[in-house]
Amino acid sequence: MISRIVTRFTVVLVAALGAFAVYVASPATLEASSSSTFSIASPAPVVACPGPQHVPVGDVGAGGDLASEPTQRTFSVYAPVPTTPLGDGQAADSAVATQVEIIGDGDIEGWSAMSCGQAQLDQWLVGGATSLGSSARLVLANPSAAPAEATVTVYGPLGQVQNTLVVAVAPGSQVNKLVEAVAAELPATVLRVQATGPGVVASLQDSRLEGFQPAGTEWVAPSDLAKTLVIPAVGAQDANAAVTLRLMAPEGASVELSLVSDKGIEPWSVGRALVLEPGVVTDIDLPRGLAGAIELRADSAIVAAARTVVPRAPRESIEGDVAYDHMWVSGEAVREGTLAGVVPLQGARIAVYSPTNAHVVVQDSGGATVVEADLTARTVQWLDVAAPAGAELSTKGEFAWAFVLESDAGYLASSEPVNMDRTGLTATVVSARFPAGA
Amino acid sequence: MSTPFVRAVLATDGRTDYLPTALAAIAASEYAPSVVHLVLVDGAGPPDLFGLDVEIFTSFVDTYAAAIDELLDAQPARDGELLWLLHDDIAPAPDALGKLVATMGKRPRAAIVGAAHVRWRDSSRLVNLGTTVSRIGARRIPLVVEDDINQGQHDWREDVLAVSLAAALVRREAFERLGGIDRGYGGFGDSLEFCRRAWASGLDVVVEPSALVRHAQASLYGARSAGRGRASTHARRRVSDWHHAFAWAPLWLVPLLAILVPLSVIVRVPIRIAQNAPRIALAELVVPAFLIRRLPAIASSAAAHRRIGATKAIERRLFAAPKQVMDAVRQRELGVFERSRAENVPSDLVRAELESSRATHRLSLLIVTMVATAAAAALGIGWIRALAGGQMITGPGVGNTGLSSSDVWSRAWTGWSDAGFGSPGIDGAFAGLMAPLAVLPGGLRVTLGVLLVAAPLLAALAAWRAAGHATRGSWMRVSAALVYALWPPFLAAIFDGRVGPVIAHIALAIAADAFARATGWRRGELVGAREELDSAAASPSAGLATALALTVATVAQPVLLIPVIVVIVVLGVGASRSRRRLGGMLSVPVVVGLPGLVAAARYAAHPADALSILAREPGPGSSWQGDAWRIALGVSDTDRWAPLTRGASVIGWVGACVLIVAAFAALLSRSAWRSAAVGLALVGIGLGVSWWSASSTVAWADNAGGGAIAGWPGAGSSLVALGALVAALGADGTLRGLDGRRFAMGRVVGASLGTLAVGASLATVVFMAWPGAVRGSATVEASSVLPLAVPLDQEGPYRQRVLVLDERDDGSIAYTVLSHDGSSEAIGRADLGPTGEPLGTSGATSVDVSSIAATVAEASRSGEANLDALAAWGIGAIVVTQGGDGIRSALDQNGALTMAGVSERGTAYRVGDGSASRAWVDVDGKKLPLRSTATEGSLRQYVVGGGTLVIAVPAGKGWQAWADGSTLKPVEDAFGRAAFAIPTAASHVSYAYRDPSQRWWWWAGAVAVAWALVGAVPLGRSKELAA
Repeated sequence: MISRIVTRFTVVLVAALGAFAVYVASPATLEASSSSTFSIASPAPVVACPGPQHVPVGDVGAGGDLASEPTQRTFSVYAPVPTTPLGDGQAADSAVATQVEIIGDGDIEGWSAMSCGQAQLDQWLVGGATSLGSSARLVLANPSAAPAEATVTVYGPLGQVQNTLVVAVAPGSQVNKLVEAVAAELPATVLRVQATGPGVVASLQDSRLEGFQPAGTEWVAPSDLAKTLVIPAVGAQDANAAVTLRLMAPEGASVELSLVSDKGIEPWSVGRALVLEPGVVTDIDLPRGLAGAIELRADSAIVAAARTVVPRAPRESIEGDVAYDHMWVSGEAVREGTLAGVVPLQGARIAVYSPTNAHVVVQDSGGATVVEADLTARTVQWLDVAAPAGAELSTKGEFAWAFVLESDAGYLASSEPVNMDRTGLTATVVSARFPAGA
Repeated sequence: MSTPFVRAVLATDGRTDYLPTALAAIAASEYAPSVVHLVLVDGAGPPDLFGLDVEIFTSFVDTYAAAIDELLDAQPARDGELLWLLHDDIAPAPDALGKLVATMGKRPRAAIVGAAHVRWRDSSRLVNLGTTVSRIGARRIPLVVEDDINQGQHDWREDVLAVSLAAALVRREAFERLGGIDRGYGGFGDSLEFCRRAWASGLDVVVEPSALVRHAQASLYGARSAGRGRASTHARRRVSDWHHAFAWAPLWLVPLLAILVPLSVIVRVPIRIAQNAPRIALAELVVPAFLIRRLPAIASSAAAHRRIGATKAIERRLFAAPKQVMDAVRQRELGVFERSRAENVPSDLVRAELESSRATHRLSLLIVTMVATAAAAALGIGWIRALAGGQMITGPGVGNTGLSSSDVWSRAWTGWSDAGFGSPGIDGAFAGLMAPLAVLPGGLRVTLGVLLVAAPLLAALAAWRAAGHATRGSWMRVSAALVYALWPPFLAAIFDGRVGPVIAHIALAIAADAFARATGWRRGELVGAREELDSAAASPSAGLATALALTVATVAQPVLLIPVIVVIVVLGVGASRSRRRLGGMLSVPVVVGLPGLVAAARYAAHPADALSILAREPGPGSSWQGDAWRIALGVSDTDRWAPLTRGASVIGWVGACVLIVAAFAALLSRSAWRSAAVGLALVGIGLGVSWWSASSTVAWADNAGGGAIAGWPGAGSSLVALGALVAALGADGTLRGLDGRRFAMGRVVGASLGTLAVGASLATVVFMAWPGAVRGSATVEASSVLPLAVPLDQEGPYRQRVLVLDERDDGSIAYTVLSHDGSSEAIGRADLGPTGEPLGTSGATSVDVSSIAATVAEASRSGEANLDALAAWGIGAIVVTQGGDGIRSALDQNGALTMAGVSERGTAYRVGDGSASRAWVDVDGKKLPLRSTATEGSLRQYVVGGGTLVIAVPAGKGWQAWADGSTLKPVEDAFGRAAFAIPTAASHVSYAYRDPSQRWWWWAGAVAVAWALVGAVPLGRSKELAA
């Protein structure tokens, strides 16, 4: 009897002890897998310039009144170091370089300029059109020693075009593709260029005709993909200049647009949120006579650029004809850092935007101040630059700016600086299992 | 007709207590022998002679045959003299001699008339009524089944090939003509030899079934020597069987017999082990050696045949026909006769009742099978489809389950873990557990998946069997089986891919079933007021089956080893009669789990670490954080239910509450308190195990990317479920044997609670199967996780490793070094300690894969990265998973890499010229790769000026290398790899991982498991083998 009682008591005690232990059990403290961050020596920067523009349709009417090929062309590449040929263009072992081209006649008469770019794996070209009278020539350059493969996706007013263009770009070569061959009759295009390997330098030549008259030619440089963008230079001194803003949100977005002048935010009837459908390219005409910048704030990443069109009297015309020139300025994500660019043409101006009250100092490569100004928050200032073509200028701070070249004869071009702070590389690595499981 | 002269000869060595009874029986004989000789051999003293007129003859020879010969040499023969050869353990019936003499008189050609031998203590049981042999003669076949009841059914027998010479009447003239008893047989088989000589000489051998003699068989049972039981004489008897076969075999048959001897051993030893007769198994092993010693005696016997003219043909009908041999095997070896008799013991009425109960239980089994199958299918239908489609089950901490059988075997055999750069393991037991699954059709991917999907069904069947030992109530049995099979933590473990706890849960139920059968602690079918067991109460085979099941459970979840030892030791203390069998149950899990115990003992100075080692998670499973008591008590985790059904969370508590309350209530029972006490103790221990698991770091970082993990308390929860069911079912089983309204009420309440618990369990399954439910973290993926060509290099002759780079959303780069097509937890984790040191005994240092972190970072960002560090560790390929554009960009530009292909599994690059290898000989900077496996390799090439053998694994004493047979000396290596100096002019270089302690353990474990596997076969055995 006693043994029964003792046994029962013992097992109840064991059960109670077990219950107590499991109730107070606290999970073991574990050391998390630690990651390591390493600084990687940056590879020497290399930029590639696309080279001279082409008449998109070839040499139709090579002479006489219908001549399309230009006969007056000035093409220059400015870089701090000697350049080497790369296809039709040139490459330079430098972080910055610029090319400028002045064409005095033919179908692609006009001014064009652009900063030569470094190879990227994913880039967005906002600009161009493939509708009647428009041609978009994509130039892909691979200045590296490794092959690359680029996949070009075209977006239009109805969204993403199903067909993509896959282009292999050999080391040290350049490839040209007419976008209209992939997606014709698009009045507004945005191109996404995704590359493998070392990446490619992508540029888009946007050339247009209005009847027999040239209607503008310009290079489109990549736009940043961000929720907040600034297009620092829209409009021109010409009061008849027309500005079109082009937007696209890959995932869709609600965007607030603001016009910025040297006085601050300008009233605009659109001033409510604009809803962008995913992949749909939207063009918005801006009020005429504007010379300033555009701020874009979205709830999802967007790309944007603005096209400024300036009319002029045509060189040869019948009654009522008007010729045009245009420039594309891409959206820049404003961030603290150093922006640098090469002056493409003597007499270029800088349109500089600051989100905050700031003092902008434009210096040359020797550190000398070329121009400086005080900026109030959310204003844009147009600064005259007293520097020769080919001079490397830079700013430090939180700004967005662009060179704008404009002639009284109605020619227009722009080029944007490059961010010099992007060259530092780090990598954070962590040892992990594979497959990790969901 | 004159009365023949009968000379009774009784030889004794004085070593048994039967002599007085034997003499008294002779004195009481109705037919008095003419003269009785008492031969005292080996110093035996004169006994009480009961007034018998006995001539005492003292002999100093050492065998019965020699003593008889010595006596007869001293006693001249008389005309027609008959010898009555008696042993001191034989007591003839009063009329036995008279019947023998009468039969001898009727059969003038008979040289020998044998008596019917019956049991010493039960003269109704037959022991011997003549013997025969097969044509080959290597098996003695008795003509009656031992212990058969003598009902006169053998009275028709007359001419037989042989009778026992004990108490047989032999004509002296024939005795001398046939050369007497062949001393070479050593006391066993000499009767058969003598009788066969008689037949071969033209004489007859006759048995007289009505002449009964009680025979104690002292020699057979080893009573004359130090041996105990029949097993002690088994080897000598088997040798005598072969002696007989060889002695009578024609020359052409001798080679065949020589082949049959070892074959016989090979066949018989496993059978003896299966019959749980280890002494007889050992005896079978020594037979060939004894037989070689017996060769002169065999030659002597054969010569005697020719000398005495025993060369005539013997009638074929006297020999055993093949069918007779088969019957003898079945009856004598496999115990068919005993089983048949046991089955026929109950009356027809009882048998009808039992058959009715069996039908009910079959119905309950059908219900359990159908419900469990439906539950498993409802929960696992997605996995079934995926497995059929070639995918595998994986998940956090699970890794690749599609590993090859050679990978599984390598880990099981060597203990070497190939994770990361590799490390010595504690053991390869978990891989050993996976090995049978890996060799089944479909490989580990399919069988492991099927195991997980079918786990509820397997658990239900095992629990149903086990429950039947505690209660014969069909519904309670069904309830218990379903509650155990659908125990929420068990289901959670299945759907988290925790293979170890799943296997342990099933194995514990199997162990409970086998344990009950092994100890006889179980209930029989109630027929009236009596319990009828369907088989022997306690089974030694079941004891070894218990050992096997416990081994599986403790290998799958080592945290169970110590509790299992404690429980069985405590039970052994309380049940002295079963102590030996309980000890046997422990032996296998302890031997197999010994390396873990040793590893824990090495950390005795750090008790928390030692406890963590004992509670280690050996296989797949992710870290767990939460309330351990919820898991321990089996409360459903509503996060695994469909969101719509989470409002019914109270249902998740029902099963656990019913079970625990029932277990405590059972303790109050007067009749069932023992089983309730055992059950509740199991509940308490299970709760403790849950605490232990949950508070332990059950695996530290594996130096290959797997971080430390906290334990899952599921194994303890399985014990809780088992204990609660033992207590509750034990009480129910007792209630069924009791009469009265109170007990009837108890049965009704029990059945109601069982129904409630089953309902709650099924509701949980429904909620988990509901659309939208997230049952667990395990998922399905393609069975091959690396691009197609890469695993070929991993399995190829140079055993290249692969570096996998995965760019995460936060921009960081996850890297993994793989020797297999994915992480390999499914064949066992790396056994590393808290500071990364190997827990196995053969590793002193361990190099972490983080040693290549800087190279990985640089390679992922810069096309100019130097990749020498990768090749230094045998990494021959880099795979970048989908989306790693930045990484691919850098690798594309790296001149040291060649793109090998792009697929949906990633982009593969070859490092250098693709010649990386696991091991190579470095000769002045030139690499000569060795053909390698994960743990060994070799090179047959002339190494002129000597060099250095480099093995791309962390250095450790388990790695050894040889050049032309000479052991190489290890040398320091800058990377911490295993390296050895090769002398000049070596032509054959080889290396291997050989952990001596692992190898010893492996063989010990293999022998223990093999013994248990064979012994667990429920092979019947006769009393002869049981004796």
